[in-house]
Amino acid sequence: MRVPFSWLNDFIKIPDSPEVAAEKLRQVGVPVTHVEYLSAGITQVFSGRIETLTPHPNADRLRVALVDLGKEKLQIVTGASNVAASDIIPVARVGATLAGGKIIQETKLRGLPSLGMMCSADELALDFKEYLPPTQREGVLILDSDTPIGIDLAPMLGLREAILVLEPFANRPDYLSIYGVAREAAAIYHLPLKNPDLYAATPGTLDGKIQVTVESSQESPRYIARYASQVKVNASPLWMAVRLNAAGIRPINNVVDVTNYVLLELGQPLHAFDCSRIQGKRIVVRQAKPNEKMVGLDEKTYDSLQNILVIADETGPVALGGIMGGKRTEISETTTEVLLEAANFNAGLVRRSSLKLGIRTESSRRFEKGLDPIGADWGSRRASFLLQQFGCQIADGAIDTQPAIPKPQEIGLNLQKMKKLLGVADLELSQVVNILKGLGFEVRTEDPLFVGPPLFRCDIHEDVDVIEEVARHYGYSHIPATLPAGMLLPATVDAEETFEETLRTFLSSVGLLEMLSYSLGDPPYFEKFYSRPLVLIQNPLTEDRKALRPLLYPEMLMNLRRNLHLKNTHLHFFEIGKTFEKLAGPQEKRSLAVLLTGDFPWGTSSNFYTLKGVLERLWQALHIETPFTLHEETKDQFHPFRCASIRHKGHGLGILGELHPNLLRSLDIDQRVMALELSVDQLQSLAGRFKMKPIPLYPESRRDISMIVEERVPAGEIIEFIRSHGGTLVEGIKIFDVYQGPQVPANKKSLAFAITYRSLEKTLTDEEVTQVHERIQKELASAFDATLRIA
Amino acid sequence: MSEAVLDKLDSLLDEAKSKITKAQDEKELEEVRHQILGKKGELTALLRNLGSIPQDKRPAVGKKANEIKLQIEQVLDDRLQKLSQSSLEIRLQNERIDYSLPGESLPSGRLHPISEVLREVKDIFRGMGFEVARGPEIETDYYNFEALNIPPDHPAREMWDSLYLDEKTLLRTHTSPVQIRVMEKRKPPLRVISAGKCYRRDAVDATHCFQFHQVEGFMVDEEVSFADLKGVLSTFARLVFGQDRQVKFVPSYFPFTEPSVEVYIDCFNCAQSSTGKCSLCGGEKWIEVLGAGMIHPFVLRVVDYPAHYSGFAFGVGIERIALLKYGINDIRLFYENDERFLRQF
Repeated sequence: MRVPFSWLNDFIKIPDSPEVAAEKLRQVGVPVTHVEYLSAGITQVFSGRIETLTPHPNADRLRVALVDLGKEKLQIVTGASNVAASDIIPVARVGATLAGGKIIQETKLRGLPSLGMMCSADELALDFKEYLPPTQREGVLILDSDTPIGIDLAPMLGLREAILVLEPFANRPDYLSIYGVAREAAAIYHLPLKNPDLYAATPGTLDGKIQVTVESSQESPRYIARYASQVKVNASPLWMAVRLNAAGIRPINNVVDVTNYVLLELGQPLHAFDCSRIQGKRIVVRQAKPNEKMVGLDEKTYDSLQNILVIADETGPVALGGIMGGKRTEISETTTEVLLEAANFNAGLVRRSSLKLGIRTESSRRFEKGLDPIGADWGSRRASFLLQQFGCQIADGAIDTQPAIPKPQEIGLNLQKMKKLLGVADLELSQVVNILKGLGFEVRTEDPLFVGPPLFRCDIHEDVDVIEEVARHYGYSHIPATLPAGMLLPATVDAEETFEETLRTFLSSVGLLEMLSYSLGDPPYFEKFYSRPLVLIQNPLTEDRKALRPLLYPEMLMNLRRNLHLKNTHLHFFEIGKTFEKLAGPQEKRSLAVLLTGDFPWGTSSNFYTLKGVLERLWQALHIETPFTLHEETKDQFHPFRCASIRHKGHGLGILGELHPNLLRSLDIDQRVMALELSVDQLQSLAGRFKMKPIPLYPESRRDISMIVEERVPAGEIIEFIRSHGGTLVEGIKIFDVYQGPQVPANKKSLAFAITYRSLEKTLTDEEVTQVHERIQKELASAFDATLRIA
Repeated sequence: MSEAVLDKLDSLLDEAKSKITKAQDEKELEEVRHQILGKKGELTALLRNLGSIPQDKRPAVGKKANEIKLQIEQVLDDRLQKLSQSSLEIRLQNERIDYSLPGESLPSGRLHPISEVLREVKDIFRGMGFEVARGPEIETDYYNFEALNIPPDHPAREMWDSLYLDEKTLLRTHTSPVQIRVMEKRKPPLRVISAGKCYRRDAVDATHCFQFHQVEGFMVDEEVSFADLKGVLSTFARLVFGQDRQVKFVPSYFPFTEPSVEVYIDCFNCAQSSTGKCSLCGGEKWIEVLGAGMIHPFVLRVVDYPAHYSGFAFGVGIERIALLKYGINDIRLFYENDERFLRQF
């Protein structure tokens, strides 16, 4: 909403600058985002009448004008061809500043002095040229013939006009009007508010002119029709065009401009029909019938009008109630009689209709927030007043379907409760009463306090609504700031959140960088990784953000890819977040994923085993007693021989592996990428409670085993064998060499293990260790058909 | 005989002293020690011959010999001390390093800036006694809107353009549903915050994203006042943005709070922007940091709380806090995950 400051001052003389007024309005909750200036910096432009206009003696294209500025007459040499004697035009005097900072100086043109300039719309930075008659678009602006001579044109042309730009809240449709903002200003400044000039209601019905039937007063609580004849459709006076333009609505013609002017001024949407085109001279406000359609003022055909409220004549809809008028009854140059509609439509109905039709108009924006029925009466009479000013004949009387407006429910207030809720101990009853009266509340009784909200405040329903009114005009800044008292109970944290934070701390401590990717992605892309049904958004903004991610790493991979294309080549990412699965309904799961590519800063390159290392460390960090196991897995998106499912006691927890080169190639990635994805929900259920293990008192003893086995024998099985067969003295087994090469027969590999032996009770003797070690060697040799290499 | 031995002892001492002084390193010194005090050393040999000295002279000679031995040992030790000190000094000198060479790389993971800010915000409220709860990202229309005093067709719904899974299920547009979920299960007094991802049907640009993070908080008890709201949120704003920040409370509108308020801090960037409009506040001098209000009685009635309870609630946009805190000018940076961006935090 754009509120021209001069328009606001029609109703209240604000004693502050626009900026100060804006800040004061903000402090009571009128959301003024900023103040904007039109035609900024333009000065010294006055109205002048061309007395005489004669050819320039020395130039064919120039003419010499004598211009009457009231107190003086100036000679101005002009090249404009669209002016004639007795035209009233804007004159920039010597010393004036025009658009772009141009300063007018006394000059001589072909020998004759020129003491000013006649101005065009461009020179005055007026941005509604297309509204002007064609000759004035490039030529000099010609003012209305009743414009007084010699006046400063700044107010009339909106030069240097300050605009308060508002973004009103959904509960205050009254801020979508100049008058509504003026009302709030009057309460701030304690100044009287001037009423707009209204057409004085005259008794009578519109018998013989038009008939109105409203089928549902629920859908359309009030419908007021007035009738104007002797209408001459042409351009509005410049002052009205300037104001509409300043407030953001393009001028069209005098009749339409009047409805828009009243919409902006009072917040009441109106519609003007060409009455001669209403078939049967009868309109019905009703639900659209099946198969009905209407061409709107926007030239579009609306043919799906089910459950839409329409204004219809004998042949069908002529307007979509509260949203838009129809083309068929549009005001045109030939219009001579006008039916002026000022109605009140059900807010929910207008909102539903506007959403369904996909159109939002200045009208629907206001109706959907709930307008008061008094507005229809004021709007109708204000527009009639203006049309009368423009020479129209307003018929006596009106059709009004709700002439009596019920008073709003009165609300009881407890001053004590108000003080407690606001935390203001010294709030006085008299302050409260003054504030509420200033805002138009009717204070019915003071003790106990009962108030009636003004009719235009459809948002006031219960005592807290009134308390807010008091609070914002009392001033939020005057309310003290206190810290609440209460029991000092320790603030607990949700266990899931705590666990995720533990994971974040751990993963970053091993050098991984946390990433946050989008939860929404492209369904076909996700389907490459996930074969079950996806959870889909019904109304996605774009198709490539239609699916909720079923896994974390696919969307992370897109981020990794972007990084690689930016030449960030060594990347170690992790993410923790929700994934979504479609079971009976959509299900949220918690997941953890890691992506590695390139080298670590300390030299190691990312490979399957670095990723497995992360997993092993994670197991330690979470104190999970039983180790995870890896099982060969074939997945389209992974390297066929470098991918494993992660299990714990037989339960699947996730997947780990190197991504398939085909997948990477399809994403333009030309380096190896490792991926890991794990269920956080399951991890959390495994995480153990930590208990310290005693530090051994006696030394360890290390022995190595080096052996040659079949290439396909997994080293893990050998380690597991040693662990299970070694006995209690075996403390740890580490593999320190895997070798295939010249000294090893084909299809075989050499493995070297270091076993540490330790007793918790004593220092082991050499013989004790040797005895166990030799037994292990012997058993390994037979179990794995291994050749021992004795060093 | 004994005089000759005594003389020899004296000369041995002189000789030893001169040899010890000449020794230039610990190895040479060790040789000297060996020559004199070793098994075949000169002094050892001399002492071995003590038997040839007459009985009555032996104590005097023996005493002298021991004194000489102690003296030599003393000189040896002194010299050793000196030599090892100077060789250490030489070693240390040779170990001079170039301080300007870079440090070695260590694992250096980081949390995402959003995670960092979430931690900070949660810590501040935990410090003020707010426990941390959570709720689902997929919500019902009831929890996301209706229970929060936003019925269907309410014009305020346009404040939260939503992504729907079906008619009654959507991605939560704010963390406020957690307020209802917690209050349904528990009775006051309550001080709770909840953090998490939210979604809106917004196209992505420098200031908008369909995905963002919010921390919702609320407090319900007997006699919780607007003054308490001001106290808690001023404390929060100053802990995040600095103790010398001014905090301003401006009336606002949310369907689930009444009175409602927007909290602003005075712009901390204006002083730095010497020319033209401040890029942070646009010349307005104030920056909005969060929205809040007294919980609407409708919401308290929805969860069947008796009328003598009151409370306040607030919502903090985490991306916004991070943008302000770190001077980030484009929200997309958070979700593009450029390593060069993430590494900075």
